[in-house]
Amino acid sequence: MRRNPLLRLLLAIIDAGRWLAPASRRRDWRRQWRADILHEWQWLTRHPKGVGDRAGLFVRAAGALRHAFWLRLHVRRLEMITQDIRYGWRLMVRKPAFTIVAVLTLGLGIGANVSMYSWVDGRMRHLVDGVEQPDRLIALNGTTRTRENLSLSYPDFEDYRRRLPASVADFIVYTMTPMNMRVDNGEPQRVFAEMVSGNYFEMLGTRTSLGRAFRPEEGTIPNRYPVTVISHKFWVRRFAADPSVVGRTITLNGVAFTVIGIAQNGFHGTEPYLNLDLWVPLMMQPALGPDRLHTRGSRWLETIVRLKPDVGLARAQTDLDLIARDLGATYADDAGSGVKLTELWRAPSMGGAAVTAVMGVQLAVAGVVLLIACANVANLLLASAATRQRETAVRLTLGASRSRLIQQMLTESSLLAIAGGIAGVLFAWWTKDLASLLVPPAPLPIEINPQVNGDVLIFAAAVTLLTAVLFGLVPALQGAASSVIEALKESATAVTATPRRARLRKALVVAQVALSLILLVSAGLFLRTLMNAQSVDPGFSTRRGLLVAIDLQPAGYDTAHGRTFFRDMLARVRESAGVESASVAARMSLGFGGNSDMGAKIDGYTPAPNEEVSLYYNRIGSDYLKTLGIPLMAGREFTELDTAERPDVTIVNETLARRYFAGRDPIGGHIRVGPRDLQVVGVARDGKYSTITESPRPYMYLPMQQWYRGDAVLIVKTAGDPGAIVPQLHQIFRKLDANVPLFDVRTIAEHLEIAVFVQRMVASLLTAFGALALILATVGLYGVIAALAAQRTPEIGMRMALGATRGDIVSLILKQGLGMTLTGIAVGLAGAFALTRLFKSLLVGVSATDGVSFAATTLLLVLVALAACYLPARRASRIDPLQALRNE
Amino acid sequence: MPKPTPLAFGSVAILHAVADGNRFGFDIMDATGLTSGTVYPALDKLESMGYLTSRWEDARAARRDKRPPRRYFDLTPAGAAALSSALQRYKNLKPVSLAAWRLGKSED
Repeated sequence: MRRNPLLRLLLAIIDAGRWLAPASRRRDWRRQWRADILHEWQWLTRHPKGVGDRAGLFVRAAGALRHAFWLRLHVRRLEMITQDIRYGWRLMVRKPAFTIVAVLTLGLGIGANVSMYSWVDGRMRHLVDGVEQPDRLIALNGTTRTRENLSLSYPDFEDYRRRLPASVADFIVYTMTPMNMRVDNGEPQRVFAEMVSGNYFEMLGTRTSLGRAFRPEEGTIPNRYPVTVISHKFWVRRFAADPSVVGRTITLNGVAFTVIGIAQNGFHGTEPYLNLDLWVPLMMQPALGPDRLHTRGSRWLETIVRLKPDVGLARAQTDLDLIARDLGATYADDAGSGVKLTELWRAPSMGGAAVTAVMGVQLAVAGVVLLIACANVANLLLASAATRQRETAVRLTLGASRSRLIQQMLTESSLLAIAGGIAGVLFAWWTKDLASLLVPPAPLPIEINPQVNGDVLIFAAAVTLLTAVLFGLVPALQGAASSVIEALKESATAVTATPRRARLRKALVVAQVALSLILLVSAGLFLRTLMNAQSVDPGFSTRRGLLVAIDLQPAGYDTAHGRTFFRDMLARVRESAGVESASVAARMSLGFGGNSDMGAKIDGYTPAPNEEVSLYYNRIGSDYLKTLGIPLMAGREFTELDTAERPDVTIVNETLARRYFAGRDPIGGHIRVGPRDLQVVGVARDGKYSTITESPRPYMYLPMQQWYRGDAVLIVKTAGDPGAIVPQLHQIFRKLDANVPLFDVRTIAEHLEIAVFVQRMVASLLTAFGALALILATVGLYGVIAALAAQRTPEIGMRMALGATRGDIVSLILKQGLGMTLTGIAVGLAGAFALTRLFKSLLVGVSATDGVSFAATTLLLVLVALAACYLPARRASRIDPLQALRNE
Repeated sequence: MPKPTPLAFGSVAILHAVADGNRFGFDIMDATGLTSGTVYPALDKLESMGYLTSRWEDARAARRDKRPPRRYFDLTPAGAAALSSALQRYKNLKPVSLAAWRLGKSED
């Protein structure tokens, strides 16, 4: 049918004619006409009437050309949105100052949100990156009758995997461990590795970009296959992306490993925030330290399960509970044990719910800033709508519909919002390095990598849209609802005085002041907290000193050699010039990393039914209390003589002595830990052990020589500048053993900063956002006062003509501004009073309704408000009364 | 609120034709007797005024007939309202004698 030359000619006319149509309509025009002509042709073929009918088609095709041409002429009217955009764009360009202020304000508000979201996104959604279907991955923790959030033992992992329930696709276990790496007998280097089950890469769905991942046999036969997969980042950083690294041998903790592959770019392992350097099979663990693969009681592995598609967490939990009950009946070590599944983002192994709460605060704060920004821009738009009221009225009388005007105003505000959204994304991009504020100063390869990725851009678009509605709708409705007759009747200057609009603008300012007050009060509370936290007594007085982390285990030390090393090292360090005292400890108080506790029985103390006596402890060397300046309240400190061969001894703190040795002399008392019997030889003063906010808790110290551990902190009290002895320490260590690297050298003062890290972070964020809010609110207040003062020009002229002094006029305007500010403050104080108690637990030494913070913030706002109002007030007082009256 | 400008006769005729079941450009031309150069632009204009909506015909039906889907027009509630008020207006036309043309009485 289409072969017919007549039809082909017709279609050719349509094909050619489309160039007459405007570009935006071209495709549809051609489609419409081709379809109609073909249909008509078919109909004529089926119902032939005569030659004339087909000729008629040509006339109609000519009409098509007219149609195309008409579209070209009228496309603008048809596409009103495009027209509105052009109009809005012209307005924006014509009023650059207005546009710049509005776009910057929105940019800051949107940027704050995008920025916070990108951090949260990095935290919540990219815990485990570069894997297949991360949403099916769920964290698994062990539980006992009394405890939760435990790790899993290797035999348990094998049993669970052997009985894999139908709801679970697979399990992996892993543990993070620092290792000493040497390449070609070079300097030892500390690397961060994960020891992982053989199915690790396969289960996660992570590929290697070079070489291969682990084979099944490498995950099942102990100590047979020393192989390692290295991370892309580490490959680039350490090996300059040399492909020949695959197949090479590197030494890890003294054992030769073959590099078999490079993990795909973007995969950073299964530790949150950390960029791991390499992975080795768990089966190599016995070669690297005391064998932990075969002890069921030894819980040391983190676990992730992959759920089958369409299986919920609850079903998998039920399935696993059955297996746990079965295992508990089979093995004595597993009696009463269970497992608990949690989503990754709130899993303890991924940082837990506390971090999530902090992120929530961040988003809320950013949301408040956005609200203030919206109020500000709405105010600006109201002011601009006032000057355009005549235009609006004229258009209404000329027949424009109100919905049409609202549509146009919303288009304008959307344009502003889009510009603001772009500014916001740029702002977020520009400040994304500020995320390093969130990185705690710990000796780990931590990276919070906020990215402006697709999700973040979608979020930005959503926020922008919301913003456009928030700040655009109110002025649009106001503008369209204005009375035509009034607007046309009144003079240009009086037009702006519509009381309803002025009321709305004032309300917006009040809201801004109130919101800023809430932010500033919160910032004040956290600044006070920070100051208090920094002055809290941590329980030790030494401030001039150095902390050095060492780890003997990767260097291949066994317990006996390690003890000797520590003894020799301390002896040499103590001899060095500038050193007053030195000791070691398994961990430094107030650092990152939790405290260890263990169950104990105390002679002469009968625990209440259901009471579990569990004591927090630290392993310390001789002279520890002296070095850190912890007062010894009774008895003696550990000495070099408290060796493994001598009877077990312990030092307890005052709280432990009070609680468990009530009315008795703790010195000489006995604490039993498992089979060991510890004699109390000293009582130390209480201190802060985990966090600066903790309340006093029972604590005991154990001698490092009797409770050996390979990783420790060397603590040196110096006479002068702590930094000056670092080269000496390096020299001592080189002489003792070149294989033991010193890492994470820091002063005690620096370490104490860690203790207030959370408070400092929240305080900085809130202060930054509070300042931002204050600036926005000030600009808003200034704008409204200036506009109101301008409206009152005739009135002011009249007053001056009647004898008012300049001072009278200034105070008149100031009063108006102060009235709004005080209303805002009243509302804000009520809001702050209600809201600040939400973060009570993060505050130190200051109540959630702290008078000083509230009063200081109020004063600050009043002063800033006065300053913002003074300029327009002064300008108003300079009015020439004659001029003002003549204009009227 | 000002009243919308009264619809031109051509537009009324087209709305009437659509309401009468003529849903495609050529059918509407046949029903109204207007030329394609009038009908097609008017359809676009009525659509932009919110009196008509258009969509592409069901692709399956078109494929069955071995032709591309045509553009299909329908009345909106606003279009129906505008048509009914316009028809009121034409009903108000003063009766006029057409006897001189030998027709005897007026037609609608």
